[in-house]
Amino acid sequence: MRLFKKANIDFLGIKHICIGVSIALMVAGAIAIATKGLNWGVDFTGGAQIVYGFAKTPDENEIRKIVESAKLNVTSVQRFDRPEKNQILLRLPMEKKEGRDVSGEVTAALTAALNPAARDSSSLDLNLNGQDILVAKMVADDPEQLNGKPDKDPKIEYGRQAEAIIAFRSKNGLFQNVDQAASTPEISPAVASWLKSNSSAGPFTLLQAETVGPQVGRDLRQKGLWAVIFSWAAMLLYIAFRFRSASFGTAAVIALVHDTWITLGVCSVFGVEISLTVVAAFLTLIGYSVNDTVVIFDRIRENLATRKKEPLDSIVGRSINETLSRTIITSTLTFLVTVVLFFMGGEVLRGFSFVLTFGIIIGTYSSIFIAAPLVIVWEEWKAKRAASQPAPAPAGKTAKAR
Amino acid sequence: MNRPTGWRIVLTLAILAASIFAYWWRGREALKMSPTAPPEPTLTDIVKNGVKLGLDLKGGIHLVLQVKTSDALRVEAQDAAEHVRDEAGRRGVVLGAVPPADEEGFTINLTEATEPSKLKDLLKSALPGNDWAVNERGKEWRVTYRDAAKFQIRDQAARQAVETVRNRVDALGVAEPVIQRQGDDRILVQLPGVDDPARVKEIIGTTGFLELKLMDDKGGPYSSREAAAQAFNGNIPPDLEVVEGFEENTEARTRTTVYYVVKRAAAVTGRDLKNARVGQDRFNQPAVDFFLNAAGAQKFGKVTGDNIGKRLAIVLDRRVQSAPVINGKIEANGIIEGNFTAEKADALALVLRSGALPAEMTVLEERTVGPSLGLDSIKQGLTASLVGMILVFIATVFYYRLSGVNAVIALILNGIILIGAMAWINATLTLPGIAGFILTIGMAVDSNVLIFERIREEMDNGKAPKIAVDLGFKRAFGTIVDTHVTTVAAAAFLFQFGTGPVKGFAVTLVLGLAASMFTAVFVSHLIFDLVYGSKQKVEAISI
Repeated sequence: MRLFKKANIDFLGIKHICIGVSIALMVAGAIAIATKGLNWGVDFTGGAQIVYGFAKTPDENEIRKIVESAKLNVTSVQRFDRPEKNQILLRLPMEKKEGRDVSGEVTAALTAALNPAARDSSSLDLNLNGQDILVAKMVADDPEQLNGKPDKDPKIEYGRQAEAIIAFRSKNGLFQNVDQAASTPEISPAVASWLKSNSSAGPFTLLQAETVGPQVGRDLRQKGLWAVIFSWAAMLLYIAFRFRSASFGTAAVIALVHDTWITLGVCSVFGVEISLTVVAAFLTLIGYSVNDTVVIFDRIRENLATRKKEPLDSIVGRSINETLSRTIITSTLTFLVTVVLFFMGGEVLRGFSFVLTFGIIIGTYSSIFIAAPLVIVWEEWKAKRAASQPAPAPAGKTAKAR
Repeated sequence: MNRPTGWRIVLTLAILAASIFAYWWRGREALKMSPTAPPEPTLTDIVKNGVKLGLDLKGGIHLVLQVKTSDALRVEAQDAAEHVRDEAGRRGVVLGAVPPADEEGFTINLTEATEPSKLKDLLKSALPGNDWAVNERGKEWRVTYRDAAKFQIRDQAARQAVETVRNRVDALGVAEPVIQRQGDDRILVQLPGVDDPARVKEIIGTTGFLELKLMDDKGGPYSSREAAAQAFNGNIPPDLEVVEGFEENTEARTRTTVYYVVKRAAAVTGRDLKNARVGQDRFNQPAVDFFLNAAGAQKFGKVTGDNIGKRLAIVLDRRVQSAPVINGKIEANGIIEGNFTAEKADALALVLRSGALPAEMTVLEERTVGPSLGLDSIKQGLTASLVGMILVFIATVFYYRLSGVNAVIALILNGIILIGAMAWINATLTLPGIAGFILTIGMAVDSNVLIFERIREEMDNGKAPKIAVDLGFKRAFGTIVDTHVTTVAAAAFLFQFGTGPVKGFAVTLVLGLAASMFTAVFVSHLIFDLVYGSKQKVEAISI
C-alpha cells in the first residue's frame, strides 16, 4: 500500500496563508494564556493535593466541611478518575507556615469524623496504616504465641503475613470490612481472629498525597522554564552546526517555539493541569518536532547537492513532497500510541498524552507548512536585502547549506 | 545486498541473549536482597523483579527535607558562650550578663569590674581565632562567626543530618532507600514500598535531642511563662531557663501545657547515650529506657549523687517529658515516661538510638503513593503499552507487508534490549517511564519508515530491488542519526529537570532510541539479507 506515490503538492504556494494561520493561532494562544491563564499544578504553585479512595460513594460537601472544620483551607474537592472508583481529589492551598503536615492533618480529621472505630486508639485502621505498624503491633500482641519458640522469629513470621495482608488490600483497592482483611489467603487462623478483634477497616484509604512547599514550587518552575529554553537553544545550535546555515537553524527553532506555544495555548483553553509530567511531555514534543523538521531539511540538503541548477524554492517543495509519506506515516504511528495512552493510560498520564497527541498534530503541520517554507522566506528576504544594497552581494537564491 | 555473514547473526543473537540474561540476573539479585522473598524463587518471581519499580508504581514516600542549619549555628555559639563564661570563672575574669546566643554569635556585657585586656586575652585563648571575630564596642562586646566557620558549621550540620536520617531509615528496615544531600541544606529521602507517611515523617523529622537538666529549687511547674518569671521577681538568672512541658490528667484524659525552670546547661545530653529501648513505667505503661556510655555515666553519677532530693528534668526536643525526684545516685540508665502508646515509644526509642539531629528539619516536599494506586498504574500502563504496540505492529505490517514484519521483529528486539538495558544499569521504571517505553516504540518505527520509504523511492527511480535496499539503508542513515540526536538532546534536558518519575521517562526514552539505532539499521538490514541475500535474482520485494 502506498499513500503518496510521487506526491506533488504545492505546499509553498500557500506558505503565506499558512504563516498567517500560524500567527493567528499563536495570537489566540497568547490571548488564552493571558486571559484564562494556565492551570498550574501543585508541583509549581505549592500546596497539597491528596487523593483518597472510598469504600462507598463519597460526599464531596461533607468532606469539605470536615476538612474546613479542622482549620484547613480547601481549594477544591472533586471526584477523581472514573466514578465507580469512588475516588476524591482534595486540593489545598499553600499553608503560610512551611513544614506543616497538611496531608497528615487532613487524614486525621477525616478519620476522626468518618471512622468511629478509630477513636479507640488500640484498634488499628487497616485501610490507613501500613505494613510497619501492623508488624509492630502483631509482634507486641503475639497472636500466634511465638514467644519462647526458638525456631520461629516473630518479626519474620508476622512480617510475611503483614505483607500478605497489605498486598491483599492493594489488590482490592481497600478493605470493605475487617472480615475481608481476615480472609487474606496467606494468614494463619490466629492472626485472622486477632485482626477481627484488634483492627477496623476505615471508610477510606490514602492513595496519593503531594505536598509541595513554596521554595520547591519556585525551584521547579524555574527549572522547567530553563529546561525548555535550553533545549530550544540546543536544537538551534545542533541544526545550525549540522546544516552550516543560520536560516535552517532559525526556521527549525521558530517552528519549535510555534509548536510549544500553540500547544500551551490549547492547554490553557482546555484547562490541562501543568504538572511535572506535562512539562516532560513538552520537552519530548520539542525533540519530536525538531526530529520531524530535520528529516525534511536533510532531504533539502541532499537535493541541493545533487540538483545544483534547480532554484531553492523548487528544491524545498520537492523535498517536502519526497518525504511526505514518511512524515505522515511516522506521525500517524506515534499519534496512535499517544491516543491509546490518552484513553487507557489512566489519570496520571492524561495531561502528558494530551500534550503529546496535540503536539504531534501541530508538529507535523509545522514541519510541512512552516519550517521549510520559512527557509525560503528567510533566503528571499536576504536576497532582497542584498539586492537593495549597492555593493554586489553573493547570489541569494541558493542557500549555503551543504 | 549481501549474503548474511555469520558474525552479524552471532552479534544480534548475543545482544538478544545478553538482554534476556541481564533481566533474569537482575531479577535474581533483587530477590536475594529482599527479606521476604521465597527461598526457592520461581521464574515468575524472577520476571516480576527484573526491573526496579519507581515510587509511583511500587508505592512509597518521597520527601525533601530542609535542615535548619541556623539552629546548629545558634547551638554552637551558645556552647562557645558557655565555654567563655566557664573559662572566665576559672581565671577570675569578671563578666556581665551573657544573653542567649543567636545564629551570628553572642554578646558579652562588661561591668565596671571587667578588665578589657584580660577579657581580650581570655577570648584569644578560649576561642579559636580563625573561627571567631571580636568586635569591642564599649561595654557590649560582640563575638561573631567568621564566614568560613559559619560555612563549615552549616555544612557539618547538613552532613550530620544526612547521617542521622540514614541511621533512622536503616533502623526502619526499608529496602533500597535513597538518602541524598541536595544543595547546601536539603536532604532527599525516598522510601519505596513504605506506605505510612505519618509514621515516617515522625521518625525522620523528630530532632530527638535528649537533655537531662537539673531543675531549680523554684522549678515549678508554673501555668505560664509570666508566672515562672514572677517566682524570680521577673528576672530569671542567666544560668536558668524556662522550658515548656505538659501535665497529664489521667482521669479527664487532657493535657495542659506547663512551664518549668531548669538549669540552662544540661548535665548529660543525648550525645552520651549508648542505647535506648522500649520498656515500661511504674504503671506498666510503655516508656523508653535509656543507657549512657561511660563518660555519660560518670557525669550523670556525679550530678545525681550531689543533688539527691532535687528534681531532674528529662527534656526531649526542648520539651520537658517528666521531672522525677532524684532518690539516689544514678549512673548508667534512666527512663523517659510520657504516656506513650506502644508505637510512639517504639518510634522514640528508635530515634534516640540513631542519634539526635543537629538541627530541626522542615518538610519542603512530600509525595506519597499508596500501593493500590501503584498497582492500578501498572495495570493501566501495561494495558496501554500492549494495545499501543499491537496497533503499531498491525499498521506497520498492513502498510509494508513482509517488510513490515521485518520492522516488527526489529521493534520487538528493541523492546527486549531496552528492558535488558534498564535491568543492567539498574534503572528505575516509573509510570512516565512506561509511557516512554511505548513512545519509543512509536518513534523507533520512524527509523524503519525512513529506510523503507527510501527503498521505495530508489525502486521508483528504477533501481533493482537488491540495490534499492542497500541504497535505502545507506541514504537514510544520516537522517536517522539526526533524528536520534535531536530527540536524545531534548531528553538530556529532561533528565536534568524534575523528580524521579520524569527522570525515569528520560532514561527509557534515551535507552530505547539508542537501541533503535541498532535494531532498525543493523538488524533490519540483516533480516533483508537473510531473506533475499542468498538469492541470485530478486524480482520484487514485499514492501
